[in-house]
Amino acid sequence: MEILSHFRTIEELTKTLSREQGLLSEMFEKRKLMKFPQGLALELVGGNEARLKKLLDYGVLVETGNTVEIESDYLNFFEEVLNVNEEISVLSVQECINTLKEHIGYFLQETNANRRAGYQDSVRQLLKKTGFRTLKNVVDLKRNMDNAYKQEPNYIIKKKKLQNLDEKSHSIRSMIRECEKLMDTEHAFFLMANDPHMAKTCSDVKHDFVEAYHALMEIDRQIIVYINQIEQQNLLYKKIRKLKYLQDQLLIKTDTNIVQVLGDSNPLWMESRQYSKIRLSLEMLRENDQIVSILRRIAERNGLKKSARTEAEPLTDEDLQEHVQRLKDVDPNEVWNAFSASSYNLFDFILRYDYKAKRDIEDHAALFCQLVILHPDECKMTGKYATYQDIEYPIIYAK
Amino acid sequence: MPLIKTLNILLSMRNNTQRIYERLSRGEFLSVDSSDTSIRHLYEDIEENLDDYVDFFKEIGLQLEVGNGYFYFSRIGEGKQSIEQKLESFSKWLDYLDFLKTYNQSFTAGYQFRKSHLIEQISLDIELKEKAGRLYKKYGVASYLEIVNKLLQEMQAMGFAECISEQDETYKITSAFHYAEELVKIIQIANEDEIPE
Repeated sequence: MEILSHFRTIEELTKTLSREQGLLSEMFEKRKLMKFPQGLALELVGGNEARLKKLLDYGVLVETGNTVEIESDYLNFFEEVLNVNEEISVLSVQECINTLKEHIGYFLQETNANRRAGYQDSVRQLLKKTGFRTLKNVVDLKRNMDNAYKQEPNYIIKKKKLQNLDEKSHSIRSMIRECEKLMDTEHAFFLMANDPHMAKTCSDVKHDFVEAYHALMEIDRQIIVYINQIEQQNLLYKKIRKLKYLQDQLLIKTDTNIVQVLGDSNPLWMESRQYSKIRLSLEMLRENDQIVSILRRIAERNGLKKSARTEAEPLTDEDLQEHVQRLKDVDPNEVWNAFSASSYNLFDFILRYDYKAKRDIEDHAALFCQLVILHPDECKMTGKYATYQDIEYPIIYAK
Repeated sequence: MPLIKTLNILLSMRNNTQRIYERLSRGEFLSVDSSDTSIRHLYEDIEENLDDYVDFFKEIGLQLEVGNGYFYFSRIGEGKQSIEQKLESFSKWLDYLDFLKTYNQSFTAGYQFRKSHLIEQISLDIELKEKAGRLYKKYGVASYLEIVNKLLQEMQAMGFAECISEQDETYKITSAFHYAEELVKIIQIANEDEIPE
């Protein structure tokens, strides 16, 4: 394996990074989305292979097949510094605390005042780092928890994730306790207490811890709620499957209290859809033309033509005009009354009477006979006869 | 006392009786989290004047039932359907629940999904496929699209689901869905542990 070169000074490092900032920022932004193809990387360093090679030689980038990625040391560095690391690493806090303990040990045993001050500084820095890391972990924890609950589609993984986060929350908590205990009981802190920087850091860290503690309490509560909800859903799911199994086995009536449960209530949704029993208002049908046309449309849609067949065509204008048809009939009473008031003999009267319709001689003869039969007592028979055309008739007057 | 009662009736704000009756009498549920503002309006109106509405509907033999974020009707006294009919209705919904929970265990009130995703899952998941095939077997419904359409249509008619985006056919499950879940919860199974899941 070839030995990688490395940067000798900060200046060299920052200059190199600054020169390749275009490529690095592009790669950093896409670190979660894709593998970065070498061709694209080359394009971003201006097509200069030497520059890309230098990054690879110095171990800023690593080559994997056709793609390049940022080396994990640098990636971690960027993520840490930019505060975008989402991983919750309880380990790093634990590491801080361990180193803290070591340095406190050195501090207590060191006799040289200068070196002692040096250890004190590093204790202070470590303490600060611990507080910062803890707080950051808590914030990440909260975000991860929400993501896990809301976005994880797989039910089992979701639950597992939440349980893991719950464990992490517990270890963060115990770490806080450990660190607080250290600050409260460790003899070294009494010795360092006169240093104003140290005092301020201590109070800052304690403040961080209190904040983290409060946040953790809320997170704990939320995780429990989430896990419970999942558990509830899970129980329900199992129950549905069991009921479904019983139903498929036709055991649901005997093995559950379903008959009793359903018997106790009569929700409307279980009723089959009922017809609307409301009748049409006759009043409305008579008065509203719109309804008739609606009815006709419905009938047509349902293929009913019966109504169309029995229905007459509408009346024409001609139909609506007055038509008078005169009948040949005459009212014998009317004619008799007129006759009895006149001085004519009956046959002559019948011939002259103003009928509304045309009548022939046979009609006259028939009316003559009719009147005589109807009013035999009121007729005055003269016993004389006369002839009209070929009819011989008796001359009769009214009494 | 009667005077006070009359006054109360006069003062009551029962403005939406007809609209509420029309929806609930079809066996529909009214949900608090409906995306339809007119339904939410009805829900709020019932909530504000609950006693008035309950009293009123009681007079026509209907009990306005209050659930966890939903309202529905049940019939007071003798029901119109036999226990067999009720069992049939229930078993239909048990099939639906079983199918939907297999699609996603967190299928509950507030859940959102796309129709296309559901159809896609059916063709991917063998268990879901089998359950979907059985849902409307007696109607001879064949394609998964038809099955899903019919299911969604029924859920919408009940007020359990709502289409919140016509464009990509996204559906939301309303809080009335709790009713179906609660119904399952109150059923007790004898020897529950012996039944395979």
